[in-house]
Amino acid sequence: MRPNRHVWDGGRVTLPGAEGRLALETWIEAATRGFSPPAKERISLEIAQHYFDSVAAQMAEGVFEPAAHFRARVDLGDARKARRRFRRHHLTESDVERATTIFSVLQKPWRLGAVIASHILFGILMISMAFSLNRARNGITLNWIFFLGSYAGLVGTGVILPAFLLVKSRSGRLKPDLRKGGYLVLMDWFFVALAYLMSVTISAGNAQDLIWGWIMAGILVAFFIPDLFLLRKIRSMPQTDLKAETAGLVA
Amino acid sequence: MAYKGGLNALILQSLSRGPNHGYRMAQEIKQKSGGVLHFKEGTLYPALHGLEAKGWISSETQEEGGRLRCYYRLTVEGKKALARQKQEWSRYAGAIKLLLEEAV
Repeated sequence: MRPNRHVWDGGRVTLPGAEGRLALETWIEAATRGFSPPAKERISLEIAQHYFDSVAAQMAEGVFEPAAHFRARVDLGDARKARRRFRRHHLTESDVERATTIFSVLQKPWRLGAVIASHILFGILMISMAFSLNRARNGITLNWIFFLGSYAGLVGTGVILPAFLLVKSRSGRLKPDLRKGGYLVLMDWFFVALAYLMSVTISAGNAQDLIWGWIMAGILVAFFIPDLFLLRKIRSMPQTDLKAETAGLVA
Repeated sequence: MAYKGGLNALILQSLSRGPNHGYRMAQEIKQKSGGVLHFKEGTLYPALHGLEAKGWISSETQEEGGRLRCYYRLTVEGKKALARQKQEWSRYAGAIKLLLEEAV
């Protein structure tokens, strides 16, 4: 729903107070659409307070109530632009949903184990594929130590780094720290993209294969970028908003 | 006229005089600039929330006349940021002035 549009017809304002309030509600709804309830509450409180302060101040100066509402409505600005600006500092419902998933992975060791196991298995799969493709297509047999080295690198990235992040996110706390540990979950996508890229680079018989490999890796990385932005936002949010908007996910 | 780049500095400067709420800050800025700088709510409040996220200002909700009102206060980090922003602005404004005077 778009905010109401009112035309100023040469100074004769036909916007009554009740309609002004409705316009305010419509504006707030448009500016906070999809936001988490605590974020909506905070923004609504401040905007409504500002709006009624503005109406009261204008009426005290002798402006008629409908005109005061009209001017206050104009002073709200563009709701869609405001929504984009507020979104940089507040969580949407989908952000909270994703943060809850990330948090549950951090909190449950078996889910975390599954993430790490998927890294290892994917590494085995990719390197095996690269090995067989390389032999079949190029007729060149690379030393098995080369593949073993690649695999060791992948497992090291997939096991050692996540384990380090996990310890860091849980050190001295009962609840894991979403702000620190969230990156662990992001590594899932990053690792898959890396493994894919490595295997294609190793196995590619021609430049066309390489391009497709890069495109696939790019698509996989694209999956992890929204999560990266979400975690960046979570890390930079004010502590009070963060606690309210993540519904206790952050200690 | 909206001056986006300077809004943060103007908010910090306004809060350097003491805790304040959004509406009063907007009015102060408008009056002191002779009506030239007038920020809409859709610009002012996201900027306030952004400054709070940076830790330059803090907020607290107080009851006033039976209604809840959000007050903002400058933090120690905010004071340092304001000093930096003033310095940067002086340099920037000085440079523009030099160039414009040269052009005339």
